[in-house]
Amino acid sequence: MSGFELIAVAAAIVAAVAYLLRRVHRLLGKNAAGGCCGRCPVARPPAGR
Amino acid sequence: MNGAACSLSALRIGERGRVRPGSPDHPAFQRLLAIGLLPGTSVQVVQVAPLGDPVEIEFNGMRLSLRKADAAAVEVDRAD
Amino acid sequence: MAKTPTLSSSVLRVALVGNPNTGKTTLFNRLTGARQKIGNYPGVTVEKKSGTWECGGRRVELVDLPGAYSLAASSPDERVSFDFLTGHLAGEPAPDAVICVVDASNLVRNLFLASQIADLGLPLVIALNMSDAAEKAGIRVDAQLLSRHLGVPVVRTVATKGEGIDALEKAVNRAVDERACMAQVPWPEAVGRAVSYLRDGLEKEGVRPLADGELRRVVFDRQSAVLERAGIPPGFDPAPLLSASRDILTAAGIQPLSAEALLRYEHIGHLTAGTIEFPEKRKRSWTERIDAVLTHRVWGLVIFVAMMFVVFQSIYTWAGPFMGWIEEAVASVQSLVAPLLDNWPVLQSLVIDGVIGGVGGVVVFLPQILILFFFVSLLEDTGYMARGAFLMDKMFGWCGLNGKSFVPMLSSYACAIPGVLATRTIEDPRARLTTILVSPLMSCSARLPVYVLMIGAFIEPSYGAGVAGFTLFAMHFVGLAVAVPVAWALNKFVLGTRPQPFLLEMPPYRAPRFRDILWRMWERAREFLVRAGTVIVAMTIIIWALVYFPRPESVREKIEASAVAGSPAQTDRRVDAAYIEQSYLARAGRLVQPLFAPAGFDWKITVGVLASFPAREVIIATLGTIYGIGSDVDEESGDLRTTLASDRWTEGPRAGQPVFNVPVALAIMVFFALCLQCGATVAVMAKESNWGWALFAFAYMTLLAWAGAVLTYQVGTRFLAS
Repeated sequence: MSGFELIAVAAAIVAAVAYLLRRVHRLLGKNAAGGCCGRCPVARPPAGR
Repeated sequence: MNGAACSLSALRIGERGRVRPGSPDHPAFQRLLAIGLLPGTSVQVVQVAPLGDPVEIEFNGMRLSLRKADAAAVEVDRAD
Repeated sequence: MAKTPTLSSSVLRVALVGNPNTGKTTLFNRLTGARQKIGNYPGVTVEKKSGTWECGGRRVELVDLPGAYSLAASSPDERVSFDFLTGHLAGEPAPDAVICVVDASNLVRNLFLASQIADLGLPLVIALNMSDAAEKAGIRVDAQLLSRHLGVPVVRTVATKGEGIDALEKAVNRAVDERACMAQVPWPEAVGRAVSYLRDGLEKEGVRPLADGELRRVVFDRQSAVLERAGIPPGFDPAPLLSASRDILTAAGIQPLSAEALLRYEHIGHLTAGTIEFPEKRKRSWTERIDAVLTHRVWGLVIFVAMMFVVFQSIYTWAGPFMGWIEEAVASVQSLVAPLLDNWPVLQSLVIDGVIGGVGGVVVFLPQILILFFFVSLLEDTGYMARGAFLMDKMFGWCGLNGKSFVPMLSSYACAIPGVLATRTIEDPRARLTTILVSPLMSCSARLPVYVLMIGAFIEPSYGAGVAGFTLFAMHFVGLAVAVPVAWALNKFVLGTRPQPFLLEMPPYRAPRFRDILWRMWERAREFLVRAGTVIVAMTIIIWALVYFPRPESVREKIEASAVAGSPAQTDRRVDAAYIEQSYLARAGRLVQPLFAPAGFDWKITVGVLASFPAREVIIATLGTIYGIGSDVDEESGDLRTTLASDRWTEGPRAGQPVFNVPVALAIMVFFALCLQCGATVAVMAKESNWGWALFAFAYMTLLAWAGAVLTYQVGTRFLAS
């Protein structure tokens, strides 16, 4: 595996892990119900919380 | 108007009745009043679900589905 | 209770309230230009939503509150509405005005809510919506006379056609400027006495001072959240004070729990006198005629089952050609990109097998999602969903599931998250918790790709398209069938919930508007694609790395040294297979596989199942990646279905036999049907209850899924020829 490949593949993996960690963090965070999963059009942060 | 008193759940499909004052102990009591099922309202049983429960009733142009157990708490005068 | 409007801020706050099924959400979308989920089904709007409205030169923040028949704050969503209107939500002052949307055909019942808002002293505008439908039925409302009687502007609107919007703008401005409040009920003197008695008693205990309107709610409502919100000092039980104030009413010959409704309706009767003209002879409406068939004891059920079957059969068959096109497109992208990366084989594998293969495998199922949402929107918008609930209630009601559980559970067929949020319409906290705990068992649209892959690869080739459609139908039924006994057990042994009243309005049938249906299909498609492009891509990259590494040269050398016969291509394939078999993922998978061996899963399926806990679609990407690396990149790779069908066990007692057969495919589907593999849902469940319950749901569903898969496989291998 060439040096370029090593860097590219490592960067992709690090980015993927970082992205997922951020997702999890947001999920556990205060604004979790708001568009967290990107799947449901209805979910918004609960009013008054 | 002055037919025999019975519960709403005893009415058959197509039969009408006039609501009598109900018991405030029933959990649906306030809900039914809020949507206008007041004493004196004329109510008709429109349909009964395939397994005999719930029933669909019509009053004041509103169609409502409710379980027999809840309908049993509504006393009516059967209309002829 | 209304505070004077803050003149300093230029943005007005206007709340939109109304009974369910009055076209409130349609009006909201008309006014704000925002698209929202529109459904002809009671309780679709589960929470507060806001948008900006340019209202006759003024900027208005329009807030759409959940549909409600009454302000009696007994369920969480009603509480939100009441708190919002009284200005008790943190950081949200009371609105400057309220638009109450009423159904012109059901004016009296709709004005009940308006009259309750009048009690709070808020400026009010009545939007006489769906006037066209009312007029068609021969019901005429004299808006001007009604406006004079009520003391607030009454505007004739048809939200679906945008009629009356200009007049509504003028009316809102007028109501704000003149602080036009609706005529209040002339409460009997005893009500005043009961309220003062309660106020004095609460004051003595140091409860925050409450307005008369709020105190009346406390006296009238069997269970009011008002006191709770006002803050009850510790050690103070308000019950004796409350019953003493109700005794004042009883002594005056007024039944406290029915007083509000009787007095209000009497007052509304006076206010509307002479304003409504009913047709001389009531015509049999379309709704009545259709319902005579669709809710019929025999025909209704037959049509319901037939309709559900057609829905799933069409999802299965219509999608076929579209799937083929997407598969071809994915393959051509792969063959287009692959040559560009020829110098970097590792990177090539990451992009082709990992990202494109994994995500492409998921995107292939877009047509099914679109077709499913076409039907869901159609059934919701026409008003049929309520009929479905009516027909099915007895079957699912015996377990103590609230009648109101239907809306959340039906929503969960699309996605459990809005379903869990929709439980806020349920008053009883224990009934609500039960519904939250079983909602994720409903087969959400993210499970669809798993079913379609397995059915397409293993059920259809053996049993034909008819059985394939039926299997899809059955898989959507499994979760529901399990939810009923689970709910029963939860209610009986854990929560002790008593049966709740089931009142569901059967809305009039309405012709669906295809623009709205197309919009919802597009919204869902976008979400599905966004998810495939973000979470699934990230998961795929990680899984690719775990399948690709480590790559010690010794593995290749050993195979090449022992290669006695066979073409170089065959040797390459054996090398690839050997690499996968010793990858990190395979090692981890083999470690856990014994756990899933009774369900017939090999290490690849096991790994797919485990990787899918954050999001269930990942299994497809995982299998796509594993089998993608296993196949030669330059070779015209067959679709995932054929690849799965040709995979064989390399070791163990079943060596040489196919990894996948009908019982295994069924076991996988049952596992996915019952398992809570969605991080976002778990988080939302924790928010709506607490982490304890969310983890409980996760645990019980995982156990159920495992047991269900094992049972399916064990029974399946005995009774089905594989």
